[in-house]
Amino acid sequence: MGKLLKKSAANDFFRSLQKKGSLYAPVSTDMVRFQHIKTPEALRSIDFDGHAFFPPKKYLLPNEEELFTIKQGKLQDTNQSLPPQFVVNVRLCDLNAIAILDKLYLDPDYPDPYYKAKRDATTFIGINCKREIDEYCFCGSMDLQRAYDLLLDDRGEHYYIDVRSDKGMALVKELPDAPEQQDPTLPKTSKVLDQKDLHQFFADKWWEGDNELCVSCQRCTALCPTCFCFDVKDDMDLNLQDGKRLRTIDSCHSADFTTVAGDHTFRSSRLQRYRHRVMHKLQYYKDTFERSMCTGCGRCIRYCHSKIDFVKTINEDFK
Amino acid sequence: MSTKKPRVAIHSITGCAGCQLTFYFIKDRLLDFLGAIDLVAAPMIKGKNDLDGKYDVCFVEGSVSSERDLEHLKKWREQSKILVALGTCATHANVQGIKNFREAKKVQEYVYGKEAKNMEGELKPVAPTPLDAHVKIDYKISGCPPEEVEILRFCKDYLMGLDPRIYNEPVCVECTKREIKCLLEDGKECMGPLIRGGCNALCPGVGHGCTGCHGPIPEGNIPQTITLLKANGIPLHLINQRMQKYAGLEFEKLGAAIKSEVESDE
Amino acid sequence: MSNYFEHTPVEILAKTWESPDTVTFRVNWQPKHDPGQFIEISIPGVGESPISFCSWNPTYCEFNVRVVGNVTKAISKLEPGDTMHVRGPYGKGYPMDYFKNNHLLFIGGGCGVAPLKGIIEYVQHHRKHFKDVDLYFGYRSRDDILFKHLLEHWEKEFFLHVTIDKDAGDFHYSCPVGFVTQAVQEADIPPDNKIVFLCGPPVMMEKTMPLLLDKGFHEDQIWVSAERHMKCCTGKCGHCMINGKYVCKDGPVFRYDEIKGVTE
Repeated sequence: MGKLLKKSAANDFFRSLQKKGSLYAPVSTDMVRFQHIKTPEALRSIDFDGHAFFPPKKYLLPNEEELFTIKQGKLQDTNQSLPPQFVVNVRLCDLNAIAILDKLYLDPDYPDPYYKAKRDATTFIGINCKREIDEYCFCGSMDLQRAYDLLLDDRGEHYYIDVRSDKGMALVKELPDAPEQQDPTLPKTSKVLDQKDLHQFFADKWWEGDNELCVSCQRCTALCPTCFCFDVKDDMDLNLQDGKRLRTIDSCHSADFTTVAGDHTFRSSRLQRYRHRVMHKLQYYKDTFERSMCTGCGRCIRYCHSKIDFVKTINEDFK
Repeated sequence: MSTKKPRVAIHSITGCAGCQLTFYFIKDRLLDFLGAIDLVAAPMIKGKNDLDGKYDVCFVEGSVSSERDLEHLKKWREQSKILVALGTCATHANVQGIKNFREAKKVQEYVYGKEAKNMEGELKPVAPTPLDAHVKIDYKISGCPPEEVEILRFCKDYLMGLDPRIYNEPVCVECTKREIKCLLEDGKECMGPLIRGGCNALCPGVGHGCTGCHGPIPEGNIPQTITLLKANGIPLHLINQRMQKYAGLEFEKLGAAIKSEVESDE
Repeated sequence: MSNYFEHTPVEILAKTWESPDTVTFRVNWQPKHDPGQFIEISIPGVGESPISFCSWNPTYCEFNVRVVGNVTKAISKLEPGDTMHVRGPYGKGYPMDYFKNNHLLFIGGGCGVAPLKGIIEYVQHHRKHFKDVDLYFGYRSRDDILFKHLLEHWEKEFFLHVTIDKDAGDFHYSCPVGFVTQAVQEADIPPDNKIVFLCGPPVMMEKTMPLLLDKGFHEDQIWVSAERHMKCCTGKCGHCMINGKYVCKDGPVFRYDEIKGVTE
């Protein structure tokens, strides 16, 4: 089902969302960042062309969130349902990333209540890429799905709004229907990751070359739209009775990540940690869920200090 | 945890006293903190100090730069159950440590002029060194000055009877989470990948590259970071100076070649 | 929706120091669980620590805690009558039905003996389903021997062999000095109809495995238990993942052929 939105009326549409809840959108300054668009005037600053530095996963898995309040040495659950929020102009790679996070965090055996409260309150509205954003994008090879409620597709004077859910339809029902349904074309990229079974290259010497360039800065994991690992720690006030139990985003590139009590570290070398991240993204997740956990957004290469290009390594060196 | 308040001392050897000051600047929390401990010695802010008694915890700021420093330090070690190196002077020798990469006599002359020769007996200098070069240190809280939150976290952990947890990730981690535009990427100078964070990327947050005041993380990739800095057009002697400034000895220990640039300085 | 991070308060019935750094808690809790599964014990303000069941009893549970970090130190300060905060059980335990009508061989090192004790108690409760039981346990020193009060019972009921790495000292149970691996190597253990349970420090497991294979054991006869510091126990936090396997969900108990060759 499709709807039409005049480009000149795009801000009116966003204004209607602003009235329904909090609006978050990319804004371009020295970089593109997702920001809270608080006022009608701020709508003008919404960016339609760039690729955000930090992925929108931050609205579901914040860098730090409180799980419990600790009062007099007892835990009190702080989770609660939230008012609606809308994150707009999200790229298809990041929309697919949300679908991947959903798989893990809404796992029917152990759904995560903190994630779910945010997920239920949040609607992600996508925007289709007319062309690849830059040379680091390789989403064209990552089997992206139309995993969204709404997606804006640039059709000259109009945005064609591809509607994929009732939740999405409720937001655009007032807009005129598109004369015919025309699925948005998924983006193509010149950079392509060859799909290979990486298990057989686990001991390959090429990991070492990439590893020498890695400075363990953990930017790749912080910026990855699907990196979800976390740590749980307690932070107490000076009275030592009250405080909070926090969940913080963690990284498998951290040396302490696999340290157990008694100071034994299972992945003690940088190479092991680098390999673990790439293997998890491209192979381990696929072993269980039959698709790669990587969506080809390119951030881990684009923002890597050393521009370590595992796509190139896998394509050219893993034989 | 015993109900008796722990006896705490805050002492100082060669340094600028800024680390102690940070301690006293924990503002709204200071009174809570002073309620939880018995501050028996803090010569900077107290008139009466117990200088010879036993301490449960003794914070020492500054580096060992003279024979007198060393005597003090050894005494405090004997008095204390737990000795904490507070600040980068105490953990890495800091600015004083730059002297290790220059000719000692020349440095002395540069500072004290022609009088330097006559002052030998008074100064009794030793090569500036971190505390753990001389005595056993139980914990280190680096930083120039150290972060309030890190001092507080240490104190809370200690008061709860825990083994204090020290943050050990590079500056880049917090910098990225704050969505700051990377300075290295921008072609500027930043020591972030090598340096222990905990500062919440204070300097990069205001557009200034990390100068390394927390000292290095143990597993930084030094050769590659130098390659990156050089690629940004930072000359090697500047990189060397950066590495010497806060933690030269530690960088050397980690296997980085840090050369002196005496000639170009003077 | 229930919150998997939330804890159940349970009452501590008894506390026994097994060794200078190891303590066993008995708590008034009757969750349905398999030997080999684990729980998280929480100390508000300090954190959580994953601990495996070391008992199998319809009326209570026991947990053996080795004091190595902040959380375990705080747990060790709890006393009978106090409330312990637990969540779980988590993970896949030992599929005991699958082992029926087999001989069982237990090889444990140090605190790795704790989860094995859970299986042993299960076997004692279902004795007629299992054949001969051999226990080979190794400890660093006499002081480190766990469950000393049970050795006599185990010796009567099963074949028991305890070794200590050094310093035999004066103890009513005669312990040969040496590694448990040596004892296994020297023992005459035919592999037919036998299941092996191996649990201990990584070095001991690495050394024992080739000995067992040499003796003709098949990889699918050997069951091992893996250790990681799980934070969530539900396959999310990522801390326990090795080669794509979550120790918390897919383990902590693995049949050796499932994780053979798994490297970090």
